[in-house]
Amino acid sequence: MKSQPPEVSPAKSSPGLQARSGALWFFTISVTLVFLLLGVRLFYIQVLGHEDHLARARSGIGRTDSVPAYPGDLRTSDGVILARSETAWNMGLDLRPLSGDQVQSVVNTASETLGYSQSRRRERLGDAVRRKANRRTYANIGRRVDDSSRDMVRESLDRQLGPALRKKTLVVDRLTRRIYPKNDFLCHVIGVTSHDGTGQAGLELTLSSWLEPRSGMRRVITDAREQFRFYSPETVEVAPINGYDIYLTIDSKAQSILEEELQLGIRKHRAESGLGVLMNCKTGSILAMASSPVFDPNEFHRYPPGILAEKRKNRVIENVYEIGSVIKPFIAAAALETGVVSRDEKIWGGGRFHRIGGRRLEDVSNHGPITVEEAVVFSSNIGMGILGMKLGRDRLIEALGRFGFCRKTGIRLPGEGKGKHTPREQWNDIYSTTSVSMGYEVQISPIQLVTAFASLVNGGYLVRPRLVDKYVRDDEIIRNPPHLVGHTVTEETSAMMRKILHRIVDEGTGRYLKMKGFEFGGKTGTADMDPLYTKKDYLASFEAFAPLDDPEVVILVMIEKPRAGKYYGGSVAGPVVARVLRRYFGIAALPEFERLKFKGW
Amino acid sequence: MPLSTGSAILAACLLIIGLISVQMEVQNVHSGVRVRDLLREREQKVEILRKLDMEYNTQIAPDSLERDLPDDYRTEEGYPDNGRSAAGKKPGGERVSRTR
Repeated sequence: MKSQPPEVSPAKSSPGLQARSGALWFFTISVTLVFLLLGVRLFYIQVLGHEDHLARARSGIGRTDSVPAYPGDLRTSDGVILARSETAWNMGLDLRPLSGDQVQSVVNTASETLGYSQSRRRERLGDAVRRKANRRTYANIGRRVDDSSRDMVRESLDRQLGPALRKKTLVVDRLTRRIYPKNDFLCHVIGVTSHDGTGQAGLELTLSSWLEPRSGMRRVITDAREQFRFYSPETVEVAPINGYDIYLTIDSKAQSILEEELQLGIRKHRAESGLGVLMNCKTGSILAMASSPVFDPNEFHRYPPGILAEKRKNRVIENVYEIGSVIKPFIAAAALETGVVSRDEKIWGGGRFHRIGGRRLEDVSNHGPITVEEAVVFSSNIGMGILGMKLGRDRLIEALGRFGFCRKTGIRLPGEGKGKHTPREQWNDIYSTTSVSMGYEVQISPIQLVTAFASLVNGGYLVRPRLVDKYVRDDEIIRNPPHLVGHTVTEETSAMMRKILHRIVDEGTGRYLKMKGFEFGGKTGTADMDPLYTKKDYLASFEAFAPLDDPEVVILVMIEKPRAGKYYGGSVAGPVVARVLRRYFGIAALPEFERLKFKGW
Repeated sequence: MPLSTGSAILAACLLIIGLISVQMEVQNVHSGVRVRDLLREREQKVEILRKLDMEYNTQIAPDSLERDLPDDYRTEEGYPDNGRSAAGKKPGGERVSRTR
């Protein structure tokens, strides 16, 4: 009997197969579940929580770099750039990877490339070697250098150290530096900035909030070592905003003329210093402002401190003077305005000397019997003393206040002088009254004087002197309109004063300044500058307006301590004013115009 | 479809997705670097433009133009006379009539 092979029972094999199949299913489902969970998580990360996770990722792998913006320009009304910022670089060395010898050779190479003088090279080298010896890690090799100098230093150090070591040692920081392309032009008004770009003086200081830019921010993706990897195209997060470009009221040509003529006058009369200001008498816009001596704002850090302080002083704004006879038109206007006298009223019977109370007053010459008008025209001290006595203390003090004397004008320049007069309680009814009428016992700043003079000839409108015309950024223009402060005299008194001031140039103390074909008016002034009134040092002044019929500008020139013999306002400051007016109004361009020859010029 | 086939397809898909992701990241880095280069280039050009603008502005400033006037255009005292001297001197030049 043949034995039958044992029959494999399906029931016997199926449990193993079933078990394997079950395991496979379990595995498949598990894997699928895991991937499903991953998918859900990815969906949550990529879609639902995208922004949140992106921000977290960026904060972990990047840093914020600042995007540079430029401070605004300072420009004249006709667009000439007076101050502009440009990118500069501070260059230094990380001293750690370098040996002592390498430090010396690198500093030498950098100094040579930057074109430093021998003394400056020695200074830089000494500093770097000392720092290395003291185990300091950083030494400066170049401050505020431009792009091309930076690239040249990089190249020369690449050759010397090799690119890898150069990258480790050379540290370059970006900053902006202020450039004054016209050097000492309008330097006292513009002012200066410090190394870090902060305004230190002038408009750079007072307008710093307008000029200041707002840097932008940009996220930079970095690697684990904080090294730059890339900018994402969408990573500019805060756009940079440049500062406002500020257009001043200064007229570049008028400024140039005033500066030239003032310097000429100062040299001619070997004077110690001087100042001048040209103003639009209707709007108060300063067209030109000059003060001497001058300085170059590009090089201001090279001046010794004492000398810089003197050169940097804007005499038009900061100084106050006992101005002398240039105050007389204001006293006369106050007297006419209050009605204590009339224009043609005789106030003095003639003579060179007169005694008021215990005080002896003296005139340069005997003008004979004079009216109020003639007291101003011939600048009579006696006439003005009498006029002052008629006005009295209270009305004199009130008049000084009405014309804005001994009070800041509000011009946007720092350090404005306020001035002062003898206080009411210390006022001597004889001495103080007569002195103030002649421009003594009262200290007035030139800007106060020219502002008051503008009101005297423009119909009585006291306007605040303004230097800024408008602020411009892209399409945004913010204007700075003229500002009326108050009224000083009536239209009638103003018209009367214009005639009186014209007579001064026509036949009075300013007669040598007469120009054929061009009518203007003005007042001379010669003040004793010595505190003890010893008549050694004088302040020669001339204030004028032009044209006669419809005044457009007023001008004031003061020359301090002329030492070449002449010292009268009419012969020292007057010619400067006349030459400036002639050039400003283009009178020299008329071929038929009789050439003006000033006495003594 | 057998499980192994499904797994293979899934793996291939994942691989492709991974490769695409890497490629996109590389592209991102490249474009980021290009953005950096362009930004630097723009900043340099802006800087050059500002310098040239300042130089030009200084050259054409009214006071500079007046200072650099040729002698022919000056009066005896050195002031500009709107070209009248030069016009008068040159043969055939326009002579400005005098006004009374």
